[in-house]
Amino acid sequence: MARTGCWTLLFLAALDIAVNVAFRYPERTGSVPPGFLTRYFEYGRSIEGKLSRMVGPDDASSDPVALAGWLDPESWKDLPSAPSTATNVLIANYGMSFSFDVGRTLQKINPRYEMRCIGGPTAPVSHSYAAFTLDRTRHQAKIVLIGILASSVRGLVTMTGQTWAFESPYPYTYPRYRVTADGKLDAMWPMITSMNGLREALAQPEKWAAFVQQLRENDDYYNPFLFRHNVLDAPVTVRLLRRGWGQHQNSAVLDTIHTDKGFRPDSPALPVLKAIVRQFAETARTDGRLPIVLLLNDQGYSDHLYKALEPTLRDGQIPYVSTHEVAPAADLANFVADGHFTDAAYQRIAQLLEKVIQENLK
Amino acid sequence: MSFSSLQFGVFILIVYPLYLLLPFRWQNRMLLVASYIFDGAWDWRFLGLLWFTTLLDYLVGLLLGRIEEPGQRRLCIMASVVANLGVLGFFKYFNFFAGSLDALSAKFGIHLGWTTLNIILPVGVSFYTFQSMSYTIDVYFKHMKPTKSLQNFALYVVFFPQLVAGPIERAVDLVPRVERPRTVTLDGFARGVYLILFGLFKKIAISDGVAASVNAFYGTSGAVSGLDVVLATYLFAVQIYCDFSGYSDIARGLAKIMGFELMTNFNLPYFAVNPSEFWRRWHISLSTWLRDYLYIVLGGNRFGELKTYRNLMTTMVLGGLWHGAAWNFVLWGAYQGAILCVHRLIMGAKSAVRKPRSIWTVAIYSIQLILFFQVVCYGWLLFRARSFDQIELYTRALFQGYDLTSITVPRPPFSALVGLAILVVLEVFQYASGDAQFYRQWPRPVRGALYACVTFILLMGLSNAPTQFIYFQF
Repeated sequence: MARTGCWTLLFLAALDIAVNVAFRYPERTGSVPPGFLTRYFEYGRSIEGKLSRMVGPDDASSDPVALAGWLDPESWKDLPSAPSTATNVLIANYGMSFSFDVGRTLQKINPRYEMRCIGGPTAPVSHSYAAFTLDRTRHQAKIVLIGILASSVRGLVTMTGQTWAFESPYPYTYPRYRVTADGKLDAMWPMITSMNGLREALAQPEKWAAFVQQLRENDDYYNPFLFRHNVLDAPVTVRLLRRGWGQHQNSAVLDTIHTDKGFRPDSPALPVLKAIVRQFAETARTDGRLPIVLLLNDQGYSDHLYKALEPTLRDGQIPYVSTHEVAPAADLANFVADGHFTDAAYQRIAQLLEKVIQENLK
Repeated sequence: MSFSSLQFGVFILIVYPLYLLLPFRWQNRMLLVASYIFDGAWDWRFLGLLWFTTLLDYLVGLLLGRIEEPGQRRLCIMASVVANLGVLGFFKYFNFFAGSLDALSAKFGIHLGWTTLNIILPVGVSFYTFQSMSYTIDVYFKHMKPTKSLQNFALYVVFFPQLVAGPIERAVDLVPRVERPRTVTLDGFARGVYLILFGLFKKIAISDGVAASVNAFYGTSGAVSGLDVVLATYLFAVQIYCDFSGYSDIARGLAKIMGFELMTNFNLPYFAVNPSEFWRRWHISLSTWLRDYLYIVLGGNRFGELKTYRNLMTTMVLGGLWHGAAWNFVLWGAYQGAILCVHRLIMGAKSAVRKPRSIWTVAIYSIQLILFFQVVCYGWLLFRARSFDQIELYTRALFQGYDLTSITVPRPPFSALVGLAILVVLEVFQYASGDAQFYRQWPRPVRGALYACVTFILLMGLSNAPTQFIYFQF
């Protein structure tokens, strides 16, 4: 038995080395993504390990995903700030790919609408709301649209896409909001808010340590075993173990926010979500704009987002579109393989959005 | 506390060294306490029911050992059967029958006003009541003498490796093993570790991997195509087999490293080419229980063909209902009964299948296997469906929509696909060799390579979202 055990360990080590050699990950990912198996065996690498590969000395040598989603108003200056003609309507669209796809489809249905899209990959609503507040004075949009993706609500207890998207982290950051005793939102801004800031911090250990400490204190998804880079990044077997552990850890945090029955009323995310929606609508109205909330109920979330926010939307008389009405999350035919809606589903959602706009835009 | 959870890992790391260190008498005491902790970890309230079943059947066993008068003996066994089935009926079926009766009467305009009770289904109740009942029935039929030790009998009922999802052990087999000192050999330990590793591989890498695809498809509210139904049902066939046989392997492995021998619960079921053979290979502990304590008691095949068919149907319908309190399980049982009857009608009592030897017989066998797999899978559709409407919709879909470009069933993860390929190869080896321990004939380095591959794929599967063992709900 001992000899068989030794053979097993020997083959396991050989397998580890063979996979590391055969599916060697490039030092810099750049703009060409590596193959499926190469990425597969890297999912369990530490977040710091992944970041060091994604972030190059300049934008051209960095992974495009690393450049996306930063709350940097300077990078928005090329976006349309006013409608191109007097009859057109500019919509400021804050969200992620789902809400941008809805916007694009709306433009196809009615070219009168123009879009000013600001967002990040799978961005949580805290990111979208922060973008909205930073962007208030920079455009003349009549309508402000905030997209809330049900599966990204968990991002409300984080400060960056690095932590909660462990397998394929997004480096961008955003504030962590908390609700104060008087019902207002209190924002804790991250120490790093731009790609250049991230580059600098990665090069300066003290700065990076301070950022990590901030995550430790304010990001519920932060876990040192998943985050910190060390020698354990080298063996494939440990990376696979870490990936499993990451799945387990992230599920444990998600369980405090959402179950298969819906969003938990006692979750730390729900009061913040409601407060953001209320505050977003109030601010938009103060600015003389029409606020619209786009509830994106994606796969696995049924109509849970709608159910969680419906009282808030009703009480505040906030116009909204909920995808569950025209593209139920339980119907697989509404989704493509990567989890986005099909074109047909986007068409129905955009039609519903147009109807809501026409009913509310005076 | 699921076998594939971290808590169980900690539990066994405490229990097993203690087991090895303690003398025999204390081993049983420690295992009994550990088993109660294991069961109580689900919900401590389940323990009361477990103690009730244990005490009742222990006392009935003692009485049956003393009484010789047939009438009194019959009374004793009736008390045990009625009490055990009463417990099972109340906790598992009360809401189902109350709800069904309410719905039926409502169709005739009568509103009974039944209300369903807030009953929690105790984990493993179907398994341990059948196991406990097998003791009193075996004592009644004088297949064994009653055990005098309440502690040993309690351990037989609650032995944690097989408490929640079997195998349903017979008292004649397991009670003597509980009563006698066990020897833990290096060989038995190695075999046990292999079974645990292989069971975890099946459960975590394969079953949990395909579960998300199956759940997404069977949870869809939209239109489905025939190809989708076929793919999702094939995946469910893989899921339920790897889930349940994986559990059984782990249970047998855990018992083995402690010197116990539990029965083989699965023997390559998808290599069956007829329903009779399938039931000799699938959930063997339940099918033999139903055969010995229900089918044969009903008369078996001793009173002519018609009564044999009736007995087959009754056994399988009740077997279906044993799985869960829902009409689709009854329908699944009826379907299994019907295909057994049809097979018997065509083939007579002969159901033994000769192992194919020549290329020609291998080809014929392969065609039979593929065809019969479709029959099994239609049964799984009935088993997995959430409602009669879904059964109807999916059955209709089977006759239309085989467009390869419109598949909506999500693709299972890489670990599940690689794991499944390895499992198929290993099972073909096992079938060809006719030996469940075929790999032990291989040279050490080859065995080492096999264990390393299985471990590696198991590690790959750790990122699959964990799901509860399917049979825990039964």
